Amino acid sequence: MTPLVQTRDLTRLFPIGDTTFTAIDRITFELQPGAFTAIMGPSGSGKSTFMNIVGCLDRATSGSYLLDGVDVATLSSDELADLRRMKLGFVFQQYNLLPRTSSLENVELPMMYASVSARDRRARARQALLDVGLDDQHHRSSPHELSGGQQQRVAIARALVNNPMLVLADEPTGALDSKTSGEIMHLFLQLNRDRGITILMVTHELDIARFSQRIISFRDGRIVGDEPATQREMTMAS
Amino acid sequence: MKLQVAVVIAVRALMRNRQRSLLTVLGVIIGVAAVIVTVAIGTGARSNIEATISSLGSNLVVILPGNTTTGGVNAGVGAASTLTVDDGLSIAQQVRHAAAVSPLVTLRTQAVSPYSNWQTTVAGVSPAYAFVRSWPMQSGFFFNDTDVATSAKVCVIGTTVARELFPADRGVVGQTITINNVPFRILGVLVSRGHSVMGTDQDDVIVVPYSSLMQRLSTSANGPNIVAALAVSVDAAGNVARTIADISQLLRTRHRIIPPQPDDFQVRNLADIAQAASSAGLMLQILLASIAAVSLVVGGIGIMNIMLVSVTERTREIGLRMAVGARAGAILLQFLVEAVVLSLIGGGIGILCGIAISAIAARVGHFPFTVSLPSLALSLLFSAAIGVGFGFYPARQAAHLNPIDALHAE
Ligand SMILES: Nc1ncnc2c1ncn2[C@@H]1O[C@H](COP(=O)(O)OP(=O)(O)O)[C@@H](O)[C@H]1O
Ligand SMILES: [Mg+2]
Repeated sequence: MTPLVQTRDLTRLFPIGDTTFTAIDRITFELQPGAFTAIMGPSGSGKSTFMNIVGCLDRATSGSYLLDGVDVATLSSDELADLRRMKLGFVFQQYNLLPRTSSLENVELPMMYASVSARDRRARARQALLDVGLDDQHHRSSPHELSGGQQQRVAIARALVNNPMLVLADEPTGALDSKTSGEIMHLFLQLNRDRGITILMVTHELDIARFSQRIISFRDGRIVGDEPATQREMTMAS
Repeated sequence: MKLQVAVVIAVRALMRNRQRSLLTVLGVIIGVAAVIVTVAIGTGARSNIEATISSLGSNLVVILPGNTTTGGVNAGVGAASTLTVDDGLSIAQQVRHAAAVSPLVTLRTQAVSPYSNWQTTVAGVSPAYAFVRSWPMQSGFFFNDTDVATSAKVCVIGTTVARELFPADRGVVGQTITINNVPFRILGVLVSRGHSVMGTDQDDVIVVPYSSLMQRLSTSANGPNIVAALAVSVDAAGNVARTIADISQLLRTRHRIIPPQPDDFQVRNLADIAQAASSAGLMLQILLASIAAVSLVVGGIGIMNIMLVSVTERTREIGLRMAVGARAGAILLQFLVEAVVLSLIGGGIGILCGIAISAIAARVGHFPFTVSLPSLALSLLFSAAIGVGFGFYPARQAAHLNPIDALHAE
């Protein structure tokens, strides 16, 4: 099986004054389709920087990155936008929903940039919201009328609505209490199991990471650990 | 990306930021309305003045009793009231370029009809008056020389007098009105002239043969044949100056004035006075136009400011749109369409407001209501230009943002 994500010696330097800072350092990594993977590591270890490159929001300074077999370095910024729209979905810590905008319209947003008719847009947005467990009464609500967990569900529906190959979630439960975090993780688990959606997630907490199948550890821009999350079933049972 | 979808995106974004959208629209409304109103007032005032000039008769010369140096028009009865009907007749006969001459005597009095009564001005003139003032009839006829010779009890009336004395559904011609207890038959109604430059209602007048006024109506002791003024129509505009000289010469002879003595009359070319008023009107228009221009520039800068602030405030939104797959072109298009939509809405409302304000101003200021097509076109063009011009720079700023920086902006 060809890996969905394949990086080789991926490096990202940031210029700091006269010198440069190495945020990620020669990372070689593979992600198989259908996997649910967690990235852990201390603050500043380069997790977000790595996620941004994998998400085609940022470019590597050196090394190679193949997304679904395509070398991303050769693509124009418009082609990167097309990739994000068609193959990727993002879930952020701060939800990043448009304010004063209904859940439906928020979920419709990615489809506005794909040629989807207005009717299909509405139908698919509605279905995506139902899929993440938000029933009709929340579809016309603005973000400020929803709880944090509900807002994150809207954001997940938005990430899923274009049927991406890969969902990237950078600390998706970072702003939620532990009970709500657990609910969101169950949703991820369900999407991964039932729909085979590939998920790459950053988290600080081991309890959260244990929902995945594989935990990658970052330190100083390098991968220092890569092991299966064996205790997952135990956590779920508790 | 389809324009239709871009419009949906832009309209949703505008609805999300209603307050700011409203402010922007307000700026455009004020700018566009200012252009339309100032142009309308300017052209209205000018066309009013121009209408007055042509209503005066372009080659009109007026002779008034009294001396310019010693007292002007209202020098009073007595020595100044030396202008006679015979002076007018001899000007008509002896001054070569005098095409028509009419004496003018006026009386302020009450006119009574079977329906109503009305305080108005009665003007005694000769049949030449209609020609001298180039004042056509709306209905009926002007009186003729026989009516003057017989001091006939006939008149023609202005539209204001007709409106005040008779119900709208009654024919006026052939009816009789009573002036100072003397019945006058109405021969015709003059075409409406509206208000003069000075603001007086030119249609509020009853015109009778001068002989009828002098012999049947006037109670003053001005003496026989004394007139308030003589109106002379010169045959061609080029002959006005020469005719003024000829008239002055003739009147000095007739009044036995020897050069060091001051004239007991004054000859005025009303067209010149009106011309001066007209150029004053042009000055007014230029002044108004510059005020409009300044308000446009200020409005435009305000709009660009709001758009730029909007881009800064919405950086995260832009980052999010890029993250979910919007190309730079789509972001550019969104902001451009937002700007154009705002300016067109503002332009549309501004045009309506401008027309409404102009209409009110025209009523209050008694000038013809004109909304010129060029000024409408200019305003529409201006709104579109604001949209594209002032919208393009902020839109480009937005489209050039780096997705990751935009997403993490505070
Ligand atoms: N745009 C940038 N310019 C300079 N330094 C950056 C930039 N983005 C991230 N960094 C630095 O790179 C390092 C890794 O950051 P990040 O990937 O956000 O860490 P993590 O998500 O693991 O906490 C940090 O030290 C951060 O300061
Ligand atoms: Mg981070």
